[in-house]
Amino acid sequence: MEKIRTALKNVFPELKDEQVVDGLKLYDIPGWDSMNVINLQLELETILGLDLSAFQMTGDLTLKQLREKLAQAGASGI
Amino acid sequence: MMHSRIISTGHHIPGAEVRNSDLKQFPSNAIPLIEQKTGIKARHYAAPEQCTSDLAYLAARECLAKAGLDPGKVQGIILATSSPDRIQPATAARVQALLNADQAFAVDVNSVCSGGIYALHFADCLIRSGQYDNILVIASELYSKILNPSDFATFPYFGDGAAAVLLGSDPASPGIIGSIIKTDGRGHDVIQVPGGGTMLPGPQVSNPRDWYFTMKGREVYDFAVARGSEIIDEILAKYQVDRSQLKVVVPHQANISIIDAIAVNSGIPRSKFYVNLYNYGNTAGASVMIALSEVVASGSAGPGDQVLLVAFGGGLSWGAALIKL
Repeated sequence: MEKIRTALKNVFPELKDEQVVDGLKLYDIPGWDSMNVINLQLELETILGLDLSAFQMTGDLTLKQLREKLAQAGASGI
Repeated sequence: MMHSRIISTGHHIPGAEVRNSDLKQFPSNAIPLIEQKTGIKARHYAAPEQCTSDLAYLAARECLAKAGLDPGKVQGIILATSSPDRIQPATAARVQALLNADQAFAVDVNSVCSGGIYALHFADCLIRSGQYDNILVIASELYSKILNPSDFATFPYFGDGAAAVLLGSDPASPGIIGSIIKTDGRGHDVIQVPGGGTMLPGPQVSNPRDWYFTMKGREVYDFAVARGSEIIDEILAKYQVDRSQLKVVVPHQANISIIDAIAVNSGIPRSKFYVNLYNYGNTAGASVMIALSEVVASGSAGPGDQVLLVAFGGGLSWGAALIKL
């Protein structure tokens, strides 16, 4: 979760550590919008070293579901 | 009683057009989102050696030339900008020097995207006071130098540009029928450039992102639609102008969804709303003034027509002006 936490906090600086839990829906992140989702994609690409251009990241995903999708895309250590 | 009216307008859009597909720093699958979400297809960026006052000067020069007014006869320059040349002095001071408008006072107004309407309001008040016969109102923004090129939430949506309006005095009838400006300072951090001021001085900036413009997109959208719609109702009621009397509505060119929503809420046909964001993006405080200048230049509204300006932006601030051309 640490790499995802880092990416989330880089893009959404108002996100508090205690909010970063499996059940958090992306849409509920302070500052989330349909444009910042692209920033999160770019940040995850940098941190995870993956090409996520085909990755669908929607606001109704929970962090747990995001982690599972990233693992399917080849992410490790998340 | 003295009134003010618009003598002439001018605008300057710098550089070559930059299409969405030219923004190579973003993933290709994200590029279509720019137009889908905002309507923006392109924007223009100033040359690296240009600063905000250069764009302001070019717009002002065109405006004064159209009026046939010697710059030495200009009595005041009010420049709206939220992307100034420097923290101090006022960007307007350099514009005054470039124009050789040596009899004019020169001052900046920073009300972010509402800046053009704020500047127009102040100029109108000064002329109504009887102390000035003319004021050159300029709005100039150069956001390409204050945006984070890697931030998809801000970078694609803004462009550079400037416009100017020369207001003159008229004892007979008002050209500026009236204007309203408002601020809700509780939203002071919704739109901001965090670093470089006294709150976070330059030497204390540790995160490079703090040098750049930021905004909370969802909050801005909700604010803009609510306050933008509300102030249209307020100004029409205050000056007893019926919607049907409006020839053109010139809204701040932030996002086509905001403009569509304000049109619905205000009960004014969407076809009356002038839109140029497709080609320029959001030029912040200059957007309404550039659009007004285009409306006048294209003949979309002419002498005697009533035009409504409405804008909203950082502060949070918003404003509206009713004009009879």
